[in-house]
Amino acid sequence: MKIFVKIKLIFLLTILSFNVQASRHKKEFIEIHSHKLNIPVSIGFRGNTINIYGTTNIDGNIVVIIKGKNIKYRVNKQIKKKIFWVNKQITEIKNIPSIYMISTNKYVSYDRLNNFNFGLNSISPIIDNDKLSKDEKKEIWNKVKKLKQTKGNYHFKINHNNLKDRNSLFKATFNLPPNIKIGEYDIYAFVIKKNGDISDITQQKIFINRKGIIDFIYNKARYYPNLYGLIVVLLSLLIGLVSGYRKN
Amino acid sequence: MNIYLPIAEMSMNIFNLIGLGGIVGFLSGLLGVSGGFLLTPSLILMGIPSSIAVASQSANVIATSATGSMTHIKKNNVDYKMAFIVLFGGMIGSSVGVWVFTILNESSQLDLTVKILYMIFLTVIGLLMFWELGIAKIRKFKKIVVLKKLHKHNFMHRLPLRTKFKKSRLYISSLFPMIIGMVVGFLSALMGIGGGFIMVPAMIYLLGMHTSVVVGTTLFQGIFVSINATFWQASINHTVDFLLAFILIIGGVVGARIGSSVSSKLPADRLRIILASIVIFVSIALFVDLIMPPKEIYSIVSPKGAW
Repeated sequence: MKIFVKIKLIFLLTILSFNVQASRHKKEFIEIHSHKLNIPVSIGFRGNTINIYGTTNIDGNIVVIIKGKNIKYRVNKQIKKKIFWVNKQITEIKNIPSIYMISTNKYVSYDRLNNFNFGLNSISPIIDNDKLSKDEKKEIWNKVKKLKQTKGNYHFKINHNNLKDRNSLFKATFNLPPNIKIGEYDIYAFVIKKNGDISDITQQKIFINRKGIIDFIYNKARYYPNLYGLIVVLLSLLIGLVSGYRKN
Repeated sequence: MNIYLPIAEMSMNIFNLIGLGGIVGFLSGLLGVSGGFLLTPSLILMGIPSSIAVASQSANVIATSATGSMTHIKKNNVDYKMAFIVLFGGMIGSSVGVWVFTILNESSQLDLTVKILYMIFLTVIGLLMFWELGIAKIRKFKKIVVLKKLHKHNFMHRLPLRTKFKKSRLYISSLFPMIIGMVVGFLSALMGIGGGFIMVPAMIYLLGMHTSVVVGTTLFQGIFVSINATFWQASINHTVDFLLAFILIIGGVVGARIGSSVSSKLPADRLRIILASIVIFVSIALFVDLIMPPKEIYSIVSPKGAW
């Protein structure tokens, strides 16, 4: 299995090297390839590592970003009532990505990334709650960002490994957490040049899908809840009866 | 080795889950107690959301009730008339319970409600177990023999809809067993329990049923009440994780077999003390969890469930 992965990696790097050779005549370029396009969430899933291999002829800070679909969350705040800490639902927050991971060669501030419409500062969450002031909404968004960072959903790493001198070949590694949402993810890559401009943005999609029994159970529970309920009840009853019969 | 739970959308160590199911099953086989009241809070303390823990545990209760009632059906220890009347109330109670569960879940209050309910019930159960053990010790020491009446006449005998229960040798109103069924069914849906620890004393002390038919009748009606709760939980709330329930059932079945096979070799009294201590410990853990300031006062929940 490991040999197969190594062969695949060598093949990928060879293609990328050819691209470098072939692209020497081109003005500027940046290309990326994910070593996995489909990530299965199967029974033993506990997160996954994804390597993005890339090639470019541009000098500067290479930025690779993985962004999940925008979703909405319910924000709760724990307040103390008598002696117990009680959940209080404050608001709903919409239009925020499930995952936002950034990998760069060198440090770059969120404000700088925001100039190119990337980074956490470029996200415009929607909080439909007239009772909250602008400052309170800002505070809530900051708390949500912090929570997502703690859970490993939002993170910023300076971790590219340059595979060759200069930036011609590079690799960015991302650790996808076990709580990752199923769906389509966008990968963006670009270079912040030394003069401060950015290169063209290259984009690729990866898919995270449920597989096997996980997919079967989830789909039945979500889309055929009555049938699922019936199956669960019958199977539980059957196991109980068989076990009781054997016991007797 | 981890296992991904499809409905909880989280990864858990499979050996922890099998071990938990096994320990509870072992205690159940050893001491003849239903371990449901320990399983759900333990799952919550392990990090499984309350909504998933409660609903999945309901499926587990189906299996354990079915296994247990098989023995009692064979021994003719089930009062079917009483069971069906209690069941009628149980069906109403569990349906209302699922409805309340949905409201609490949507308003983010389920976690707190479940924890408080468990804290109260576990404290009461633990203290009653210690009380019972203490009384038994005193009686044994002083060599006191207690002669009990079959049952006392109380207000139930004046309620309407009086029915004869030949098997239980009772002539009481059907309303009271129905109300007991309703209360237990409600708690069963809300807490993911079989409700034996409430139903059994209620049947013995309130209805005056003979102890030989109480357990069988409770288990028999418990199958259908938990079927009702599980079906509605799956259908309305989508919170039944069958993979989780299946692992707990398997662990429970194996544990119960081991427990029942070694029950005669181990000192039951000491084990009861250990169980009562575990129950009190879990109750204290839940209490501490509720009163300690949280590490992070904000939390976010995806409307679909997990993050």
